[in-house]
Amino acid sequence: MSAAPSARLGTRRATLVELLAATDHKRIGLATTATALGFFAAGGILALLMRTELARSGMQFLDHDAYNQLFTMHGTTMILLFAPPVVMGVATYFVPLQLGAAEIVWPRLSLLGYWLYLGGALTVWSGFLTEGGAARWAWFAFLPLSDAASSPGTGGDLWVLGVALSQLGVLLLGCSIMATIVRRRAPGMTLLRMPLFCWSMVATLLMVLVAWPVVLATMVLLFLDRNVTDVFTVGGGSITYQNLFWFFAHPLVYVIFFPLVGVVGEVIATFSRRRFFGYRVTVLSLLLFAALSTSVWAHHMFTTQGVNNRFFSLTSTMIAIPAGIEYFAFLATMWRGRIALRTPMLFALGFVLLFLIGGLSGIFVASPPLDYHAHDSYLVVAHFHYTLFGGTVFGLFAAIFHWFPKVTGRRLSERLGVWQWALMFLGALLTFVPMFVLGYEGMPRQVADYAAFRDWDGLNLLATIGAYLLLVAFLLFAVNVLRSLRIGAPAGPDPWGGQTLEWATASPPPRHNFDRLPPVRSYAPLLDLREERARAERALREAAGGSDAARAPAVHEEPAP
Amino acid sequence: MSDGSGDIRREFTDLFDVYWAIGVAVWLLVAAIVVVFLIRYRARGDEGDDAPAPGRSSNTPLELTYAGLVAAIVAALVYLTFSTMGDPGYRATAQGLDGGDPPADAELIDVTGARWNWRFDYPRRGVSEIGTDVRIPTLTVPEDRPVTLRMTSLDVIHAIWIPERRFKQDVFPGRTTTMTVTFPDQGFWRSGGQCNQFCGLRHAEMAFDIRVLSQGDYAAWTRERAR
Amino acid sequence: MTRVFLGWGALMAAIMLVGLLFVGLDDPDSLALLGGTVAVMAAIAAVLALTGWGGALRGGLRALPDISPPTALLGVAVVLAALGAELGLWLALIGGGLALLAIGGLAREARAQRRALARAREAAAAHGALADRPEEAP
Repeated sequence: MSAAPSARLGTRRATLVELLAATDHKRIGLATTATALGFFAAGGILALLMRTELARSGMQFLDHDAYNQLFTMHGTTMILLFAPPVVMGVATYFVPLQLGAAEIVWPRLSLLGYWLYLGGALTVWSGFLTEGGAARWAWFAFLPLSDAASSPGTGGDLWVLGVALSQLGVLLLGCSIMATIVRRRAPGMTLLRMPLFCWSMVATLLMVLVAWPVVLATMVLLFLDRNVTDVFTVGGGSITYQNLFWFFAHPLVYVIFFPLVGVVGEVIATFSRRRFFGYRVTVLSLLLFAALSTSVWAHHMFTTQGVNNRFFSLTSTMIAIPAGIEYFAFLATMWRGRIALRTPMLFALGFVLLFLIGGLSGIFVASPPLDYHAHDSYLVVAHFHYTLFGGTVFGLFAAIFHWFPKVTGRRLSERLGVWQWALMFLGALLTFVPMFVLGYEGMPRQVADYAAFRDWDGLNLLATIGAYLLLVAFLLFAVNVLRSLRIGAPAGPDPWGGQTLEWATASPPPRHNFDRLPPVRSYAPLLDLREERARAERALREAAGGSDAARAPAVHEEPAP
Repeated sequence: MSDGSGDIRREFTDLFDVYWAIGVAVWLLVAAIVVVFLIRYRARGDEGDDAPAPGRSSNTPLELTYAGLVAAIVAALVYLTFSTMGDPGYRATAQGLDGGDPPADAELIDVTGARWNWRFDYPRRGVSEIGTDVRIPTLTVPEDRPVTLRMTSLDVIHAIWIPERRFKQDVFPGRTTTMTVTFPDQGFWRSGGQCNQFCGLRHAEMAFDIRVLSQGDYAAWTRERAR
Repeated sequence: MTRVFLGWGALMAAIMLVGLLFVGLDDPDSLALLGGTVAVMAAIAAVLALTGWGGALRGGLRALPDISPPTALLGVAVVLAALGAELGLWLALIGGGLALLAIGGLAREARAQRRALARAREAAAAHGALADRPEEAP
């Protein structure tokens, strides 16, 4: 079932050059993921500063200008410098392994993508070091606010350049992954035998191929508008900017969500000891989901009187259909399963419940009459934090807890993981539910302060307490990782009873990934082998005539404390 | 649903209630299923942890039926949303692509937003109200009559949100957007209107008070201010 | 895989048609963006079909170095060159120079890779093994 671990030629630690210039997709994926997690921490610190300031009315320790930089950079960091790179990092590591490939198709392109991402992200943040400070025009940088007259300064230009560079990096990473899916599937792995995660990456990358060139063009045009000549003339031009921006930015939020749908599906299947239910229907629904998500962008513009509200309301509401199909598949996979509630499964179920709040509230704001109240208020802030935090972040931790043993050869602590999960779940509710109420009552988003007579202090304080719970959760995670790297229980090739090919090699995999590939007859090749063995054992028992016949002990590892 | 006067708060609440009920029901249903499955299908220690659970892994007719059910709910929501949008209350409210001219009897107010304050001009009354650095302006309006705000900006994109009326629209430089609102009750709303599109340093402070007078008092006020 | 691109493009076209025919979608920005999407998908499908690049690769020899410092250098160079647009020509020139160095390094890598591949092919032929169409990693 599992390949014989190949002799690792020397386990000396890699030199710095080897780490920074590796062509091994696993190293590149790891570097990308680790860098993205670094930016997650940075963006999170900004959020804590914001929440601390907002806990009470009146300015506590920031001024409006500082706050405006903080929320601009928090949004930019999370949604551009953390989330897309992190899914590309995980995919760069695991897509070749799941496909049974020895290598990613364009390793140098992936490596180049990483460096452009890192350089671009640092460029965005270098705005803080300039005299005028970082960009402070919200993460969407609408014109005319972002033009040279309204927002002069180097910090702004660095933001534009950094966004362009970092997203070019993401695009290159994506191209390499897509090419690998096209060209490097194992013998016998037809498209409809690819793991669910790989299909979720196909749907993701279709959107990347279409949307990312648009943001690159938009940033170039914005830079020209700021420094050379008027590109977007006032009036109609600012609508065009928004169309271009949102045409990219709406698929963006699905790009950072779809891969986690794939991960969560695989985790649920693994920990229910079942094959994923409704694979084909789910694959089709992922493609429909991606097509709709590329057709909804102007639901961000319902209040502009510049777009066809009915069309975008229609597509935005229809998107509930593929989402519903996927939820059905998640639940049906658990049905009649043998569910082991380990940490990956906890995070996967957290994703299912918390993302759902985001998805359902999204249907609300897909209705223009409802959106005329909710748009750009804390209602929307709550909505998208449930999709981003409940979706991307919970899904990401499902991926991390699931795949950490494969990447490092060590297990994470289950107990620390459960505590982290509980704090994250509680924190997610405490931080963002009050925001639904605040938004309904009239609190706009992107405000540094609110008047005392509003009586919004209590709810804001609750949200801030929730944010600090999340801080503790993430500190626990850091402790867990550091501890595991030093003294974590060793993990073999397949600590969870996985179903896909990455579990058929050593942990961590050797440079060339596989010594031997198991046969691929479905999207869960290891599960097929396990079922075959179970059938053979049953047949042996029957032949030996009784339930006393010795049964080969099932190989499983005790979860680490 | 509407009496055609532009009071959309009731229509908003009706629509919101439907969406809210469906949303809560769906979430509770999924949460209940998850909890029930966790309890019923929890792996028991005596079985080989490794052994796969039996059971079918697809049922396309079932899935398509379920998808049809979701599609039916989606269709209902789209229908309700579209019919609310076509309702005279909203049509008179949002000009632009949803079409429609302001009602003929609407009180006309030209609104200008500029960083970071508001100016209200009453073209038929010869009245102007301008916010200053020390005092935000007051939007004075008559009770129970449609008020059409014709809005434009002198610099960046702003927006006007009147939460109590459940309505907002954006305010652009170089073009005019309109919204028609009816205020059914007299009263004073402190910071009843606020800028709702981030516009820079003092965006959070760019608000205006709203004062709704009886029709008689309003007429008197316009005469007083016009002098 | 060609069919996936083609099929998805068709799906986008269908959505666009629904908009045009049933909900009065007529603004140039929307039509350009949706139409562009369909066009891009059709183009990718065409390229895959014409180059025969759409299917999985089987076997073959590959040569790939463990590290590629010129690639990392190229990434840094591009970042510096872009920053030069803001911070000054001097930085753009530095970036450009480093980029040239990097490209030179990549050329040398490519040559070394071809040589290694040729050696490997000879060795395989000497052992009578069949070498499929070899794929060289860019």
